[in-house]
Amino acid sequence: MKVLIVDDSKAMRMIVRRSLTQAGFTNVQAIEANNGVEALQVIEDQSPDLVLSDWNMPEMKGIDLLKSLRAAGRKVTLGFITSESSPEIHQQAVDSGAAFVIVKPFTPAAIEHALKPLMV
Amino acid sequence: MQLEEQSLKQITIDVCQSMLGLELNSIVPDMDATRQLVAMVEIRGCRHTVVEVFAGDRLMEAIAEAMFCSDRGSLSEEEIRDAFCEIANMIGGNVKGSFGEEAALSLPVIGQANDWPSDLPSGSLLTAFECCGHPLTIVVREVASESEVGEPLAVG
Repeated sequence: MKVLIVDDSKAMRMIVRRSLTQAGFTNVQAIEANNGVEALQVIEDQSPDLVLSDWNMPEMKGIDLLKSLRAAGRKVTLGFITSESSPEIHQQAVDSGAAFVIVKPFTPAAIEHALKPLMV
Repeated sequence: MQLEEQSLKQITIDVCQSMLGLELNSIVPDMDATRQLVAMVEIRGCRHTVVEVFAGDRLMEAIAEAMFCSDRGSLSEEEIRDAFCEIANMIGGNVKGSFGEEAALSLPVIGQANDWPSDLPSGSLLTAFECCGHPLTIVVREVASESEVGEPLAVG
């Protein structure tokens, strides 16, 4: 499974990578992008199965990345991993087609809980 | 301000302890201004709130080493600052979530801390921990004007 991790923080991308492994998703090829603009290009070039995106990023926010993908007809599964914990953000994410929202700080168990249904 | 100090403490503990495995012990705030950096996020909604995280060089390195799972001395300054900014981002995001109102969270910036923010307005929160043998201090305060925010030198 190819997973694209989108976050402007290299440290957070590292944590997400590590958490995927700790959650038991060991057969994952993780690729990375620094923001939504970069992510669009990576998605075009490498067709990931899943996108894990931050919300607040320079250049292009995660929600705008999701809306761009859906407007272009791309159905790639996208979930947010974000420090935004407010209900209206979560609702906006779900309304725009996000598969899930994981709030930072998170544990590998939260990753497992969100991703396991997608693996069925 | 609706946020209670205990909630701020719990948010910080959740970020540092449960996610990174760094143990935090509450202490009385005491800052050596000559060796502190501050990472800051702004929350703009009905109110304009600033969340500032203060730490010295060595603690910033320890936090970054925990996030990157790296050996001591192996990280670049950019990586260390990135990790510290992410701490402020996570604390700030959860502070914003606790307000229960629509607001925007800024990207974090980092800079030299010259002193504590002077004349903290009523309702401000200041809480401190010992982490890896060094102080970690968080300030949450409302600002009435842009001049009160301060301009940390954004390093990336």
